[in-house]
Amino acid sequence: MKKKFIKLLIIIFTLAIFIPLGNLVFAQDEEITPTPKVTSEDENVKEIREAVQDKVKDILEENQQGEKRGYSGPIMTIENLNLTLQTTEGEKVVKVATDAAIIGQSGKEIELEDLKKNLFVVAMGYITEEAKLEIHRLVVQEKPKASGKEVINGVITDISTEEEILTIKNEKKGLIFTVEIDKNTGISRKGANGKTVKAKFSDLEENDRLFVIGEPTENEHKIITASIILAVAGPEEEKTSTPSSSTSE
Amino acid sequence: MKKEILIAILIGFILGLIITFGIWTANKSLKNTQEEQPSTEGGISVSEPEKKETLALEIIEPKNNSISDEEEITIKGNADPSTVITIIYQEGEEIIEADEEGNFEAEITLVGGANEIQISAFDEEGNEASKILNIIYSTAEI
Repeated sequence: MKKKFIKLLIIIFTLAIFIPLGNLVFAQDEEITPTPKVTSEDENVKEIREAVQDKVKDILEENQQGEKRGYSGPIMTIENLNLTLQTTEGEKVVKVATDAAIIGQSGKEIELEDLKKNLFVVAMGYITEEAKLEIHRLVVQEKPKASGKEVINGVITDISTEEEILTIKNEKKGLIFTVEIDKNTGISRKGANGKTVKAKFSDLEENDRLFVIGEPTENEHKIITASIILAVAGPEEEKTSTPSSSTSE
Repeated sequence: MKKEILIAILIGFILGLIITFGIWTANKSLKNTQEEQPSTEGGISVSEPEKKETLALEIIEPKNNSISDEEEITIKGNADPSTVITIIYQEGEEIIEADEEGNFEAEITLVGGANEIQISAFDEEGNEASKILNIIYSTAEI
């Protein structure tokens, strides 16, 4: 019995030597893994960045004080002298000065009480200490019509010379556009030599990257009637071009 | 007695080796699993560097929501070098290119009252950035 007890003690003692060895293996591996120190550094950088942004915002607001500014948009709410306008940047609350000139659509001066919800107004005034716009001139006008134009870009995949129609593909968005050219379309092309010159439809080549502004209409693909086009020579032309190559005007 | 002690040490040694090998193997497989998943923990990403997805675009002049008493104004800004800049406004549109330092400028014509000007930047990869500039054109005294 005593012998068995001694044997067991020796086995446990030998095992005990290996446990620190096992921990040593773990400890060495843990040293390789990223430590949470980086996380805290990132958080610190984020905090500093936010603090700087807040400070810059404060300084900008301070500097704007007393500056002439204007907002435009339909009136959402009218509360005493405060108007809430729905601008393209969201809702803006402005305060109408007691001596403000309020001009109606007819061009004649009207009263604050004549203003109604949804009327489109152009509110002009000065930024106050509270970073609020105090209105000194408010003009009611028709809501400006949106230009309706949009920008598309992509690489020319097909050219229809007879109809003067281009097919372009935007790989990034996975979209195909049809671009119609008319006599008013202004075309420029940046050749492989890096120079941008006025161009004709016939100067455009497949694989040119196109930037188009125009009026869109929809069918199977989006059709754009181009007002203005900038074509940038495709990579193949850039490779084959020599220093003496020229671009047509 | 000596023989028994030696046998006990040998058994302890073998058992210890087995346990240590087990710990090492478990630790190694755990480490491999962590490496396979792109980890953002600790701010270190093991995935390949991503292509640039966003473009810089800053309008320097005029300030947003400013009031102009002149019909023609110059828009000045800064974007990534050599990007294509498009400007759409009520009276027309422009396509220009930023210079090697990213600077650009274009002259546009305003309409009376509110003007919404859409300015966009595009690079060769098809990335884009857009900003809306609201300018009021009024010659009236404020």
